[in-house]
Amino acid sequence: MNDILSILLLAPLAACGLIILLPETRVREIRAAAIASALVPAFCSLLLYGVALAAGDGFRFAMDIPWVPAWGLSLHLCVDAFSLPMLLLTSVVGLAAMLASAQPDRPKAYYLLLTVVLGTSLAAFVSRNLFFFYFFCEVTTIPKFLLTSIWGHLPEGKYRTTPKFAAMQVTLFIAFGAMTVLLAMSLLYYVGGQTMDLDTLRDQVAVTPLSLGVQQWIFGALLVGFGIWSSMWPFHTWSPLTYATMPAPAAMLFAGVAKNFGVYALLRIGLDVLPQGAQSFAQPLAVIATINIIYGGFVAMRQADWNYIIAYSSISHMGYLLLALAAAMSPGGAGAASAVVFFMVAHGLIVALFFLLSDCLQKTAGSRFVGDLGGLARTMPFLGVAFAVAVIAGSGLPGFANFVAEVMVFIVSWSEGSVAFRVGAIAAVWGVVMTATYLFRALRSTFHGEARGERAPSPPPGLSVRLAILVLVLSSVAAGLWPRLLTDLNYSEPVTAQQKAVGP
Amino acid sequence: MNLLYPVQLEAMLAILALGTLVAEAVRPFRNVKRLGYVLAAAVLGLLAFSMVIEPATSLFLNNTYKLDAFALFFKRLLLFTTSLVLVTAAVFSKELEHGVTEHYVLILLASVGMLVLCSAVDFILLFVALELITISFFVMNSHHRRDIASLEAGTKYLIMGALSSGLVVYGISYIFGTTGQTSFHAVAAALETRAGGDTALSIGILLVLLGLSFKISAVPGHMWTPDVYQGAPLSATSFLATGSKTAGIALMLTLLFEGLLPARGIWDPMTIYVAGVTLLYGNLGALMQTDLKRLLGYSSIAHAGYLLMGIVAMNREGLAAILFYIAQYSVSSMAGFLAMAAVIRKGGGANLSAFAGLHRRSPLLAAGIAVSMLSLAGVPPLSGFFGKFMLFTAVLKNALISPELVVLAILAALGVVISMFYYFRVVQTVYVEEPTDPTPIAVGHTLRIALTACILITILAGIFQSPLVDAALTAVAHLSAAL
Repeated sequence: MNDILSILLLAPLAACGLIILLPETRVREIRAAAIASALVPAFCSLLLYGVALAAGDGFRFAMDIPWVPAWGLSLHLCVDAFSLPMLLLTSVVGLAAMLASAQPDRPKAYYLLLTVVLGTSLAAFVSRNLFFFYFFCEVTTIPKFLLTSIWGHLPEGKYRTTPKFAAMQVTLFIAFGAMTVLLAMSLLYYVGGQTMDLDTLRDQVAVTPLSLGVQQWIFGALLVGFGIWSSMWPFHTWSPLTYATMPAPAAMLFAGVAKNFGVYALLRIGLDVLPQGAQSFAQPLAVIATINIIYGGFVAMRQADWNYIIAYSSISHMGYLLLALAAAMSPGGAGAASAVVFFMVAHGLIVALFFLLSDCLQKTAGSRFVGDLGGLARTMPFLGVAFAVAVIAGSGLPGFANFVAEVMVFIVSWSEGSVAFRVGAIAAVWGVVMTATYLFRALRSTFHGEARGERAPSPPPGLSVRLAILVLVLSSVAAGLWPRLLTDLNYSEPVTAQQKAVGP
Repeated sequence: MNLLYPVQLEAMLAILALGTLVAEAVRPFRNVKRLGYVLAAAVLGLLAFSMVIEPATSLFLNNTYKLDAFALFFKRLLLFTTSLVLVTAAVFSKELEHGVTEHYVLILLASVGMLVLCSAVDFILLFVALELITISFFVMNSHHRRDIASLEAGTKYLIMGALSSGLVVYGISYIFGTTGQTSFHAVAAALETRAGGDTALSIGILLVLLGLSFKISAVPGHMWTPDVYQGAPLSATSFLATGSKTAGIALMLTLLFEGLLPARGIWDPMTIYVAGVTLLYGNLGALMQTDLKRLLGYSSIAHAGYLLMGIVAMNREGLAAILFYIAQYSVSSMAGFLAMAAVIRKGGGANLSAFAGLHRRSPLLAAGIAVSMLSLAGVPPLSGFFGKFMLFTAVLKNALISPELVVLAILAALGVVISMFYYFRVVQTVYVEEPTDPTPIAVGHTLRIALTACILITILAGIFQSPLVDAALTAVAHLSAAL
């Protein structure tokens, strides 16, 4: 198992090295290396998944490599029920992103940056040491900045801003969250006995929990910092412009995968190390999550740019995710952890699919603004069907992963029992209606009805793009029709510490 | 021979410098660029030699000079930095026009002063070394005799340097007057036996620290930094940013923790505020700069603030963090300066527009500047990030005891976010904008090797941090024994 994990993590690194060595002219080889850097981890994650199912209760592969012993830092990697679905998500979305990248200029740098993001995201999800989790998450800063600045593109005349501004905005905003997280983590390092290792911290806290005040301060700071990363209201303002500007494969990786870093970290740290601190924030977080759902939904209804619709829809769905997280943090709500992980996977797949399709729309129809388009289903049947599938999936209709995920969120939120959560559950159900409204309306305006504007016939999406779409749709269908694929993993072992700490 | 043993590195450097000077006087060198490369290689040879020197526990030269692991760490770092500065000067030699050999000699002599300053444990030796460095820089900064910016830089450095040297001597005289000693250890012993509240001694300590703040460009000795960095020739700027600051911080650590530790009640609270103001001033001042050298001047003030953070952390981790930070800061900065040396022209200034679209003209130079800026900003996986991480953890270790440290840590975090704006803007300029003059820039072999080495060290030290961290911890073991 350690070998599989090592191969999984080293494949993107090897691909990076290969891309650096290849000359700029060999685009096909560079692209092949990039696709391999996603294919190998996908294969390895499936292998790990098989082993995990066979192992049954208490599966947990861990690897510990001392890195800076003098500072107490070791590269502690661990695959368990929380991180395995994230590995699957990251490799599938990464594969789709690599397949969907088409002839960028400066291909070498482009694929190198995408591979770095993929590799470091994989490493982040399996990191059990807080320093390395932070390190791997923050390694995406430079690729994010460069991808948005150099290959970023805003449609002509529609926006008053530039890709350079968008790049700077997202980098500074996320950096602000990152610094907050760093301060909180450094404080945790010391009050937890000079260790950044989650396992050590968990064991220590089980014996002597940290004082409530300290826990609240640290978790509060983490909530703000990680909330910024996960577009929690009111720190969500960086996301629409960023995703509108980034090239689509980058948007797929960042919205589908990197956005989940924050929630994943809060789940891990909140359950393992700061259970009482997390509990104090469960109700406020539920309220904020409700605002996310409603605010995101209403703003999405007003958008004309497909990328903005998707971005605000993503903000709205992060509300669902935060609601499930809040339920997991409240006393006795540890069972909601599986809902959080399931939702991260479901949402990641669909938002990646949407950004991919929006990019196809831009390339084939020339515009991704709903007002410019209409009646495209006649001339672009494939894209029409693909969009319809995505809209159905995104609205949470049965057959796709989002339906199961949202039902799980309704259940865990309602069964938590307090007013804030019940209101949140009602808002979440209402959110399905809102999502369906703006998504179907945009679909109808774009693909059905009267055609607006003249456009020359353009080629349909190529084979690799279709493959990418297929991969994402099939994954979502698989999780949606057989939820047990993900829920059968043993979630109870990681949450045992919380139950121990909270008490019977 | 026994007398020369501790100062063998300085002696060899001095012989190299004076030998070059005499050779130039006898028969002027024609290929000054190659001379620079040869001198750089010679200094690298000295660096290799220094690696076999064993740290000594006893003091030398009548208890004024130490050669322990701490001193050796800084000597090796300074030798490496000097070598890189000589390469920078060699690449920039066409712009230096005349007196290039003398410029090299001054670099070497300043380096001698810096090496001595790292080992000084006596106020007199401190002052002598300080003056050697400062006077060498007086001349280096105003190298371009007909460029008014350079003359202004030299004059400002002269006036501020003279003022601070005067303050240092005045402070030393107070300390000598009250304790009767000039050796750091003797002063520490005298401080311990003395009952607290000796005004004259406190004034002396404060004056010395005030004068030394000039050396590391901390508030209030920071005013000269942007103007001098902008006006001085690039090689002088690079040496100021890296070598001078390194020597200054080494001296501050030795002075504060070996000499003035019993008086920490005086200098510790003050340094917390100085650190906070310094890093705010530097980061805010750099925001609107359009000249890269001036921007690096303000950022240098900010980095002095971060270094002072390590001092007020008052623990072993803080001191080790400072050593790691200054080592990676020197190498990261030199990567940027090496790249700049091939781009800017005398009198043309280092305006950011000169760097627009640099990647089209030379991918290596663009990478050098980008890696340098990103490491200074503290972004993973570069070494600057781990330096800042070490500083933050060190400061927060004592945060539960003194809440001011929490405020300082928060200010530093804000400073990092602010700094990301101006550093990333440089990266954007280099990679996104179109060059005004798209002619490719030729990069010589030596520059290529030096720049690649700096880039690789910056990246690798950020990923495989353990060797440098262990070296730093070993170096501060003696210094932090009392903490």
